[in-house]
Parts: sequence; structure tokens; C-alpha cells
Amino acid sequence: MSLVEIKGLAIRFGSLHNPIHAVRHVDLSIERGTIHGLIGESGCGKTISGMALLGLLPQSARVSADAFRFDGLNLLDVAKSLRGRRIAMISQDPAAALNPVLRIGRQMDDVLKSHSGLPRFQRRAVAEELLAATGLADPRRVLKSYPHQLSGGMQQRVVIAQALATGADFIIADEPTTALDVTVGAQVLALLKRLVQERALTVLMITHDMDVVAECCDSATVLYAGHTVEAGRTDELLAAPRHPYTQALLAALPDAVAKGERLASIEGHIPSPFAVIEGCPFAPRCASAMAVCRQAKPPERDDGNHCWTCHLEPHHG
Amino acid sequence: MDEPLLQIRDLVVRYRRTGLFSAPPPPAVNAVSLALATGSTLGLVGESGSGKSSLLRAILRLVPVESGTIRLDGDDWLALPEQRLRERRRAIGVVAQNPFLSLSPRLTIAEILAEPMTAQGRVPAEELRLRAAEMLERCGLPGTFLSRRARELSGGQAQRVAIARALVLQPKLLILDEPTSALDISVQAQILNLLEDLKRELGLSMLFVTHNLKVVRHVSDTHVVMRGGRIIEAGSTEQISSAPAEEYTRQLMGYGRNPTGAEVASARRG
Amino acid sequence: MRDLLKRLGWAGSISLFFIIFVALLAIFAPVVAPFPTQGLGAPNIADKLTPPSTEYWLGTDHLGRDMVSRVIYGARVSLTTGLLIVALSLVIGLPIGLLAGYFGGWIDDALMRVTDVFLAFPALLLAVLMAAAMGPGMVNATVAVAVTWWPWYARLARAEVLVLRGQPYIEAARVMGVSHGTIILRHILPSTSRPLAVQAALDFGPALLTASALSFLGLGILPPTADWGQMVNAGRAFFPLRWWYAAAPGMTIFVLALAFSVLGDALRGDDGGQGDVAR
Repeated sequence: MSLVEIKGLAIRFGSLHNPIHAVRHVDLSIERGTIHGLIGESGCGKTISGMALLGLLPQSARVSADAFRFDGLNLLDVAKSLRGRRIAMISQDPAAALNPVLRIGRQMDDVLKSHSGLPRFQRRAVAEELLAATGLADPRRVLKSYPHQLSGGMQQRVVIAQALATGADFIIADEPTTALDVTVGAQVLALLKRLVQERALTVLMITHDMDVVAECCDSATVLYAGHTVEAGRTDELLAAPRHPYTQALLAALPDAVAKGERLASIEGHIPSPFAVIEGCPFAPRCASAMAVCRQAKPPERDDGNHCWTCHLEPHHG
Repeated sequence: MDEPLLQIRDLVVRYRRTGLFSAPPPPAVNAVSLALATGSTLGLVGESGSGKSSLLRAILRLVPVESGTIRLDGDDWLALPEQRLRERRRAIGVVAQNPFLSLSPRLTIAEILAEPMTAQGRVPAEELRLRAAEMLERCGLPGTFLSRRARELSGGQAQRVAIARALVLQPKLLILDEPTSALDISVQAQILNLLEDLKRELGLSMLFVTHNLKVVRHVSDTHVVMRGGRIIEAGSTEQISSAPAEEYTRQLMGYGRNPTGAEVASARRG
Repeated sequence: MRDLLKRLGWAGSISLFFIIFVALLAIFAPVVAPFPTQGLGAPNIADKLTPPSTEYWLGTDHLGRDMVSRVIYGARVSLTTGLLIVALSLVIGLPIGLLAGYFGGWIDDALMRVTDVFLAFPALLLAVLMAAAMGPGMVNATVAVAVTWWPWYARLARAEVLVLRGQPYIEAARVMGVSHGTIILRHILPSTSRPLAVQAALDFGPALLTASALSFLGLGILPPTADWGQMVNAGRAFFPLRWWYAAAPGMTIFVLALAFSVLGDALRGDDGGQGDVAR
């Protein structure tokens, strides 16, 4: 059974008559012990979906889902109590996630105190061990440091250590490398990969960066305008995308064409969050759209390796 | 061969020491030399702390230079007196990373586009509006955007406004400081295409600063890789991408997915 | 207007209306005061020290003048003094802070050291000295207080400019060759106006109190002109038996100062809250 099983998640804000559709129909299935990418451009609902998993949505949000399960538990009921115990979060900006006026040691200890119930001296040993596990060379010195004395990459490692300290087995990482340099970001991703293997973690990697997906994700889900449009194993997804949006997204990357050629850009705009979408959300911008695409919800298709929602008949070749 | 549009020789930038007794910090830019030929694009690649921002700021004369020379469009750029510099600044247009920060939140797009022109002297209001609208359309936005404000635009639209502002005085050199790294992938593709068109139509030379080697590989003719204030690798883009000499460059390039264009095309055909 | 009131919340809105109400009373004092001549100082010995009644709502003072009229006329002086102190402080402090923050370097050092010197003067002491040298009076008292107040505005303006100066859009303007004057007037000044307006509203109360304190000490307005501080001082001699004499102007000072403080807080506080995230 998958660790996370979401079907038909919808999240709305605002008035009942004119709601803002932050998330319209997200399906997400994450296997234990894997890193799963949640890919999409801004406004696609990827961060909001992550917040829903964490139970961090504002009270004004109206959430509905056909299934919204974590480890068999209905998250719509128990999200609040799982956050900080089973589910932890790593955010984009590690500097903002750490308190600038407290030493790292104190901040690690605070987390351990509320989660482990160990006596003080043992907590210190555990903190050191966790920092070492995140690849920090001199945990003792880090414990005595203030956040600003550490580089961005080191701060992000501390944040990961804190996530581990909560004892969580599922980590939601929201653009964890966007604020970091490429080489530092690559190291952080390598660390997450290692931790997933060593500690039987599961990670949801929210990102807009295909390089991040390629670098560390076992599988991924592509969102467009609050819909899941395609999901599958990373290699399948990147090498043989099935949904026109995924194809267009990959073709828009600067290394997708030979130098000097024009990049394939996607014309038009994402639909407004107020819009009512009858058919396929991508239809207005899709190069292969047919009349049916604008009228009816596209069927779910599955070729064994990955699944997608599209009216186009898959052709094998 | 013609003189390059921009020629930098042995440039050293060093910031002031922080305390009275502290040792002077190492140079942020250390003996950097580079040349940008007229009509070409030079990619400048580096991570934070590489000195690429300091180099940019030195070219824009926002930080004092310790030694070295910059020749720009025939001028001994660093020796220009303040008054002359203000006029000659029109030779450079600058586009920053985040358009929402680099466009004033208080002004309308018309006012934003007029600012470089009025800074160069009195221009009749009619002409201001005309030229602003013309440049905006060149950058792919209708003239109706003139009365809007930056926060009402999407990231891609705002970046188009920033590009229009940089080009409104018809500069010879366009400096782009991570112009697409705050944008979505599909928007990045639009902006890169736009820059390519503008370069061809207006005969621009570009200095393209980024940490993203894939973007550089797409846009630039030559590029340099900076690290620790020095240029560690320089050459034509083909040469560096096919056979990087430095391990560091290889690291930067080996990251993420690396399909060739052909692979993607075949994948799309399914 | 509706947007403003929504932003201010109920406490801020009430404060705003109260301040406007007092200002209107002061402006139209000759019309609204029950006994305008007494408000201006004409004695009415026959009714001296009458307790509050239907004729004299707040009683009368030791010369038999109606306290309501005196307090209304006193508002003219007090509000003007407060306004002048804040305005004068702004006029001196804002340019100095803008220049120091924008240009930095030695200009900053020089201007801020001068600022520090003025900051070290005790306001009341300086006022006493100026009154001794130039005689008591509203103008002297105002200048004396403003001289010790403008440094706060200079510092606030400088701090705002330091943040703004690093903004990419300011730097972009510099790179385009926009002159320093234009950058300061067009880009920086408008963005500093709100924090300074908040500070001015917050300072109006203390300015009022300081002006009243000066009058109380006999350094500000001289009788027979009505002034709240001076009235409190005069009423002191009859306290607590004739409590209304000191209480009427005293309570007015208190409530008005409070109103300005609440209004200032409301103006400042509207960009706080992060929304109600479930916890």
C-alpha cells in the first residue's frame, strides 16, 4: 500500500458563489521509501497540496477529496496531530526556518525535547548524531553556532536534521534547493537520497525544476492548473512524456533544442483560479486539442509505467 | 578585427575592510580580463561568492575598482567623470533577476519606461509615450499596459517591461543578470526567445549572467566561468560544453537531466 | 474613506472621529462655545467656582468662566502647538535623514553626529533656558521642543532610506543615469512618507503633553489665553475640593493623547497579521 494516497483533492477559498480554485483535482500516490516529485509551474497548486498534507491550510480553505490517506489514516481528520510527528517540512529558505537569535544547539534541543522525551545529555548526543548524519563535518561547532554563521547549504542541512529529530518518516520538501547554488543544491539532494535509503524515509519533493526531478526523484506527478495531468516513474516521465503539457514543458527547456533554434514556448496563460473548467484544463493552450477536449473531462490512461489524463489515443511506436 | 564593445583588463575589485584592525578582505574580483565582441553574447557563469555580481557592479560603476581598466564603446569607462558618465550610461541597458523588485511599485509602466529618457534630458510627453509604447510592443506587450502598475502583471509580463525599459534608450550593450531564474520554465522559454529576436533586430551585444549552464549554453556564443573572484574557464560555448577543462565546470554541467535535442524530439513523437 | 476606516479598525476609527471632533470644536470655537467671551478670558466673578450644572456643564473656574468654553478655546492653542512641534520636527529631521541615509559615507557620519548632539538635550530644560532667554510664549516653547524632537525623525527617515537604497529599483534608476535629486524625490521620499506619518500621529500625543507641561510650568502660553496645561496648573490650587477645575482640562489632554496614540498604532498595524493559519 502506498504511504500517501490522494484522489480527487480539491481546495477552494473565497465565497461559495465565486470560489477561488487553488486545487481542482489532484491525484497523488507516493510509495514508501521513495522520493516523489510534485512538478508544476507557479499557480498550479503544488505548494497548497503540500500544505494540505501538513494540515497547514488556513481555516478559510474548503477541502474535499475522494481519498486523502496517509498510511491508511484519513488525513482530513488527523492531519494536525500528524504534523511534527509523522510528517515534517523543509522549506525553500532555510534562513527563515531557523530562529536567528538562538544557537543551533538550542533549536535542535527544543525539537528533541518535545519529540523524544530523552534526558538532556542524551538529547545533546542525539543532536550531534543527527547533524553528523546530514553531512555536517563538525556537529559540535555547528551546535554552538548561530544560523547566520552557517552557509545556506549548512543551514538547509540543519533544517533537515531538525526534520529528522521530530522522528517523522515523511518529509515534504518545498523547493529545498531553489535558494541554494547549483552545486550546493546537488549536495543537498544527494543527502536526501541517502537519508531516504538509510532511514526508510519518504520524501515529497515540490519543485518547478526538471533538473531537481531528474537528479533525485524516483517518481513524479505533474500538476497543471490544480489538476494532476501525468504521473509515473521519473525516467519514463522525462524520456517519454505522454501528456501534451508535460511534453511542452520539457520542450521549453533551453537544452531541449539545438543552439540557435527557438525554444518551444507554451502560448497563452494558465486558466484563472476563478474559471470554471469543463474539459481538459490544458485544452486552450494545447497544440493537439480537439473539440472534445474543451467539453469533457479527459479520461485517465495508463500504460503500465505511468498514467495521464488526455483525450488523445495513445499510439505506440 | 574591430575593437570589442566591452573590454575588461586585469580588473580588481576589493571591498573596504570591515574593522580598523581587520586584514583587508580578499578581492571580490581578482584580475579578471574578458572581451565581448560587438553583436555577440557572452555568458558569465558563477555561483554566489564567485564575484560575478561584483564584476557586474563594477561595469555599472556601482562599486569602486581597485585596479584594471574597462573600455566600453570606445570610452575609458572607469575614467569618465560623473557628469559624462550619466550621459554615457545610455550605452548600457540592464535587466535584473526579479522584475517585481527592479520596477518601482509606485509608478505606472508608462512612467517606468519614461524614466531613462527623462534622465537624459527633456523629452516632450507625446514622444515619451510613443517611444514607450513602441518599445513595449517590440517586447511583446500591447500599449494598453502603459497605464498599469508592475504588481498587476505576471512575472513574464513584468520581465518584458524590464527589458523594454533597458532597451528604450537603444543601448549597445544589454546586461542581463539572471533574467529568467525567477520565472517558470514556459515563461523562461518565451523570454529567451524574445531576447534572441531583439538581439537580431537591434544588433545588441549581451552580457548574460546566470548560474544556469543550460541557459548559457543556449544563448551565448562565448562564456566564462567564475569562481572565487577569478575566471577559471573561458572559451567558446561549444568548446566548454563539449569538453570542460575544469572539474568544477563538469560538476555544474553534469547536474540534472541531459537529453540532447534529438532525444526530446523523438520522445515527443512518441 | 471606507477603506481607511476598515484599515483602522473600530478603535482607530473612534480615535480618528474624536480627533476630528476636537479639531472642529477648536476651529469653530466662537460658534460652538456656550460663552465665547469667557472662553477668550473675560471674567465672570459672580459665578466663580460653580460646580458642574445644567448651565455650566463642567463648572466654572476661579474667575467664574465656563470650563466648557475654556477647554474648547484651549484646544485651539494645544492642537496648534502639537501640530507645530511635529511639523517643525519633520521639516528639520526628514531632509537630514534622507540625505544621511542616501549618500552615506562621511555625509552620513557628519549629519548623524550632529543629530546625536541634539538628541542629548533634555527638552524641558532647553525650553526653560529659552524661556529665560527670550521670554515665555508659544513660539519659543514650540521651537524648544522641536529642537530636541527632530533627531528622532532624522533617524527614522535614515533607517527607511537605508532599506530602500538597496532596493533593485532604486539601483536600476541610478544605473539609468537618473540624478540623485530625482531619485530621492521620486522614489525614496514617497516610500518613507507612511512610516513617518505613523510616527507623527504617535508623536502628536506626547507633543500635546509636552506643550501642556510647558504651560503648566508657566513657560508656554500666558493667561488669559486658555491653555489646558496652564488650566491644570491653576486648578491645582483648588483641588480636590473644586475638582472639576483641574479635571476638565486634565481629562481632555489624557483622552486626546490616547486617541492619537491609538490612531498611530492603527495606522501602523495594518500590514501585520499573517492570516489565520490553523494550528
